[in-house]
Amino acid sequence: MSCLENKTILAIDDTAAIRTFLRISLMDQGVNFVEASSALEGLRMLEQHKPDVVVLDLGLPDRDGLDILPEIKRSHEGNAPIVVVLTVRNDRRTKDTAAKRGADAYMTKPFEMEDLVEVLQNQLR
Amino acid sequence: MVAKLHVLVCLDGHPKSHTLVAAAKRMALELGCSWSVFYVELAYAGVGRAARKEAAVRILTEAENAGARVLQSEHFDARAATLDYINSCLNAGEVITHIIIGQHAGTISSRLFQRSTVEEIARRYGQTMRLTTIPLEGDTLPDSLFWDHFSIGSLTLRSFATSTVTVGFALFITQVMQWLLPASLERSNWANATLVFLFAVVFISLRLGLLPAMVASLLSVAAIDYFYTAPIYQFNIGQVSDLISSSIFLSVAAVVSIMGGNVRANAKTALDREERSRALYDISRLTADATNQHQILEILDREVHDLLDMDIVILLARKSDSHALDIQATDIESDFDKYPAEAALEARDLEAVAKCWNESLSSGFGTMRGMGSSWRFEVLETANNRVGVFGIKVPLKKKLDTGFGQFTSMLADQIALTIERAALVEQMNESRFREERETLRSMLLSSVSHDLKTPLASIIGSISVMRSLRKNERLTPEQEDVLTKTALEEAQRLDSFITNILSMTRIDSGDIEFSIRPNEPMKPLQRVIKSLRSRLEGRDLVIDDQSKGLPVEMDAMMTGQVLQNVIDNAVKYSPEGTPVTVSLHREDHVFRYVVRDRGMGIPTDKLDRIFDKYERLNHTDSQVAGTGLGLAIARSVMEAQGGSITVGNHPDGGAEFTLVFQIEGEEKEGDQV
Repeated sequence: MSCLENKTILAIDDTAAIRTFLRISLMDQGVNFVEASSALEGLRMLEQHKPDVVVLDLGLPDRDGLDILPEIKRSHEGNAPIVVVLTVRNDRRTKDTAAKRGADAYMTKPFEMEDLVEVLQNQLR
Repeated sequence: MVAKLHVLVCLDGHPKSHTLVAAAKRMALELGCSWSVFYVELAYAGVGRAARKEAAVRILTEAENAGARVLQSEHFDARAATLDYINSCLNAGEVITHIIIGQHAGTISSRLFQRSTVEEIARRYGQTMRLTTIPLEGDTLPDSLFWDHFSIGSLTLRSFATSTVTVGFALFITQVMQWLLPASLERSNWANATLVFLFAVVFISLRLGLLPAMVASLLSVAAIDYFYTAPIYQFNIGQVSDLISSSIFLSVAAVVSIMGGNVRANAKTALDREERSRALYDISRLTADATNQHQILEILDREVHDLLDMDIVILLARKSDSHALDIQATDIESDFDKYPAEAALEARDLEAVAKCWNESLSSGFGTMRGMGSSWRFEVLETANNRVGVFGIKVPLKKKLDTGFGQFTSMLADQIALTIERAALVEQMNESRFREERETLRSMLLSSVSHDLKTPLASIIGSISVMRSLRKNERLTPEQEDVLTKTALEEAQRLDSFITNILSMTRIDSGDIEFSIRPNEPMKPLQRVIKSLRSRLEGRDLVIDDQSKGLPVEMDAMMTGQVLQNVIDNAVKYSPEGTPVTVSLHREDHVFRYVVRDRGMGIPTDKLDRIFDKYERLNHTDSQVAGTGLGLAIARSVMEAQGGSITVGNHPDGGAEFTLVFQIEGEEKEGDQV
C-alpha cells in the first residue's frame, strides 16, 4: 500500500523518545526499522542491515553527524542509502554542508511525522 | 653624505655656565640642528656643597627640557674629559660643527688650564669645527670653599678612639721591632718606627678624614718623642725635630685626606648611580606583573620610598582627554587624582605642579621653575597624551648630584610607560571579556534552543504519530501507552530545563528568596525520586540513609532542585542499567548527601571547572541534552544556603558529588541569642 513497505530504514539519533515514535510510526507502515543511538553504532548497523534510507541526527555523542555523512554515502559500492538529515540545527551553513556532503533531504526538529513520511516517500519513489 | 650639523657645549661646574647653554640653544635654533651638552663634574666637587650641585642640576635640566642631549662625566681633569668626549663622538660617526666652551677668568692656575683646553681643542679640531669661547666671569667655583677639597671627617668620640687605638697599635709594633732588633741598629730602628707611625696616620686619614688624622699625627709625634727621641722615656716638647716631624705628619694627613676624599666622592657617585639604575630596574620589574593602576601606584610608592628614601606623589589627570594647558594651581586638587592621597602639597608645590603640567616641563626643586618647592615635578607623558605629574620630595639634608635631574625624568618616563601599559592591559581585558561574553551568549542561545527543541521534537512527533494512527484506526492501546508516556516524559524534561534556566537567571540577579528552615533531609530527596521516576526506569536508585532522621537547616525546594540536577547528571553520564547511589551522612557539624554513579568518572583536568556556568557549552558535542546550567545552579544554590558542593571520582569508579550543609552547634546558637 505504501512505497515504504519492506524498505529498511536506519534511524541514528541519541534521543530515545525520537527513536520510539519513529519506530512505532514506520513499523506500522511495514518498514523494516533499525535504530542506533550513536555514530559508531550507526555505522555498524549500516554494514549489517544495508538500509535503503538513513535518518541521521547531527548532534551525536561520539561523532558529529556531518562527519559520518560522507562515509554513509560512500558505503555499499554505488548503492548508497538515501540520507535524510533530522536535526535542530537550522542555520544556512549546516544545511549547505549537509547538502555538499551528500544529504538527500534536510528536516529540522521539531517536525510532524506526516511530513517526514512524505519526505521519505518522495525520496523512495 | 649629508653633514649633520651639531652643536656641542662643554661645561664644568661654573655657576654661570647657563650662559653657555643659552648660547648653544640659540645657535642650534638658528642652524636648525641638534645640540648636546657635555658636563664634566670635577671629582673633588663631589665632596662639596649641595647648593653648587643644585645649580648644576638646574642648568642640565634646563638644557634637557630645551631639547639638548645631556651627558655627564666625572673626572679629575676637565680638559682630558672634554677631549675624550669629542673624540668618542667623532669616532661614533657624529658630525660636530660647533663647539661652545667657557673661558674662565678665574685664578691664574685655572686661566692657564682653561686656555690650554681651548687651545688644545682649536689645535686638534679647529679645521673642521667652529670653536666659540664665551668668557665666564668670577671664580671657577666661587661658592666652593678651600676646605671643600679635603675630606674633613668628623671628630667624634668614636673616630678619636679609633685614631688612638691605631696609633697605640703602631706603638706596639715599633716596640716589638725594638725588642727583636739588636741595639746596634738603633738608628734604623728609629727610622722604621717613624714609618710605622706614618702608616697609621695615612690609614686614619684615608678611613676617617683629616681631623682624626690630625689627632693621629699629634699622638704619633708625641709617641715618637717619648719613646724614640733621646732622651727616651720623657717628653721633650718644642724641639725642632718635633716641629719637623709634626709638619710632615700633618702634610701627609692633608694630602691623603684630599685623595681619600676624591676616592670616596667617586665611590659615592658610583654608588648613587648604581642605586638609581637598580631602582629603575626594580621598579620596571616589580610593576611588570601589576595589571591595574592601583596596584602600580602602590608598588611605586613603596619601592621608590624604600630605594631612595624619598616621598613621591603621583597626580593623574581625571579626564584622560584633558589637554587643557591652563590648569590653575587651585584646580589641581579637583582635576587630578592624587596618590598617595595623604601626600601634603603646599600652595607653592601646587603652583609648581600647574607649571609642570601646563608647560610639559620639569618644575620645582632643581629647575628654573623652582617656586621654592622642595618637590621635584616631572610631567608623565606617554606616546599619546599627558597623563599626569610625578613628584619626588627632596629631603633637606639629602646630598644631590647632577645626575638627579636625569634620574627623575627617567623615572617619570618609566612611570608613564607603566601606567600606559596598565591602561592598555585593562582595555584589552575589557574587550576580551566583552568578546567572550558575546560568544557565550550566542553559544547559550543555540544550546538553549537545542535543549528546548529536542524534547519538543519528541512531544510533537509522538503526538503526530498518535493522531495519524488514530485517524486510520490503527492505534493499539500499547502504542498509545508508549507514545503518551514518551510525550509526558519529554514534557517533564522540558519543564525542568526551563526551571533551571529561570533559576539561574534569578540566582544571578539575586532575585530569589531562600526559605531556610529545619527540614528532614529525606523530604526533598523523596520528591526528586518522584519527579525523576520515569528517568530512573531500568535503574537502581540506592538510598543509604544515615541521617538519623535529624532535621537540617535548608531550603527544601531549592535543595530538591540541586539533588535533581545532580541525580539527573549521574543518570546521563553512566551506562543504562547501572545503579545510582545516594547516601545521607550526619556528623557533628556537617550533613552530607553523596551521589555516586558507576560511569566513567570525570577527567581530572575538568574537576575544578565542572561547576562553571556554561562549562558544557565549551564542548561542541551535544551528547547529552542539557544546557550545562544544572551543576552551576547546584553550586549557586548550595553557596546561597551556606553549604558547598564538591566533586571527585570514587576509587572504585564513577563520579561522586557531595553536597555539604553546615550544622550550627548549640553553643554557637547560644552565642547568637
